[in-house]
Amino acid sequence: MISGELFIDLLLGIGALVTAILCLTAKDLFQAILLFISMGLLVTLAWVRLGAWDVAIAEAAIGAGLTGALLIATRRQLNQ
Amino acid sequence: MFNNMTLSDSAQQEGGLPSSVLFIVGLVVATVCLFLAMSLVEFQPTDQPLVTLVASNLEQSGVENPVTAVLLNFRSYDTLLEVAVLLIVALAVMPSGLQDAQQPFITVSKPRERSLVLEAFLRWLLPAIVVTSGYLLWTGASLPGGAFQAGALLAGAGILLLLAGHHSFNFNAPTARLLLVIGLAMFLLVGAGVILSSGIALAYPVAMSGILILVIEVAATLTIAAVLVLLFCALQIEPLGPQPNLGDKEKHL
Repeated sequence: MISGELFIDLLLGIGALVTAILCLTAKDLFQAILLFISMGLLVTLAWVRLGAWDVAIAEAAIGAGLTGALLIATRRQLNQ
Repeated sequence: MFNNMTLSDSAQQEGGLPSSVLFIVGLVVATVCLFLAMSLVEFQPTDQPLVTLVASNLEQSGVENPVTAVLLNFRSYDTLLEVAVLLIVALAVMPSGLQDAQQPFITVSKPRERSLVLEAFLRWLLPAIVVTSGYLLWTGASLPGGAFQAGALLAGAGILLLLAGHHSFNFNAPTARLLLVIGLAMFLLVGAGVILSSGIALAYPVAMSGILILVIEVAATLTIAAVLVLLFCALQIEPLGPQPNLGDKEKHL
């Protein structure tokens, strides 16, 4: 059981790091935004695993949801 | 276009940096990361005086959730300043134009392009989001949740409503301005009002702290939702303009 939990934690931590690196190195802006949103969702799960439910809800709503919407709207402005 | 320009610019700058500088920067970052990792390994989770301090004073706070107790009671001054920062952000992105002040807050119009799926979906989703947001606000007293989470959810509902295209918000309307300031105003009013009973600003009387925190949180939720929707509105000037190709980009969202 413990090794299973450790496996999930490692997966979340490494996944967040990998999506962060991919987000920073992505050539396409839209791709980078989607990777940023995915990273936000992984970080949300990491907060859940740490037991910080308040932060997890805030991260899911603001970090992944609203920031994603704002970034996509900004990208549309840039493409004008 | 802009995207390609900035990318090639930053690539040129990267190429311009001498490799010794890159090496030193890499070394510094690696050292800092090493020290952070070492301090994480040596961190003793048992030695947390703040947890016991909050837990022992929890019954004085008027709420059962320790996070809400810290945010709205023990360290409410910090939260007050956060709400004030949100108001400053709102002022920075407020659309200019005093003549709009006579227009209503919400105007309903026919969208240029209708997305039937989004409309049908929103008919079910929006009430659910509003109820969930109210639940998060209410449950914040005893379980995870609270004003920021509820406000963010409510703002998500507002953004979805904007994307459907039937409604547009005018943030110069008196109602909208009231929504933008009510969080800070209520916080300040309550914070100053409790001076009468306890003599100290923001030190709620124990018997009434639960209801006072709820009043502040309801007002703060409205303000947070309004500011976040305003941020999205400030980036969304084009769809009202005459460009015809924006409708199909909207679908990607």
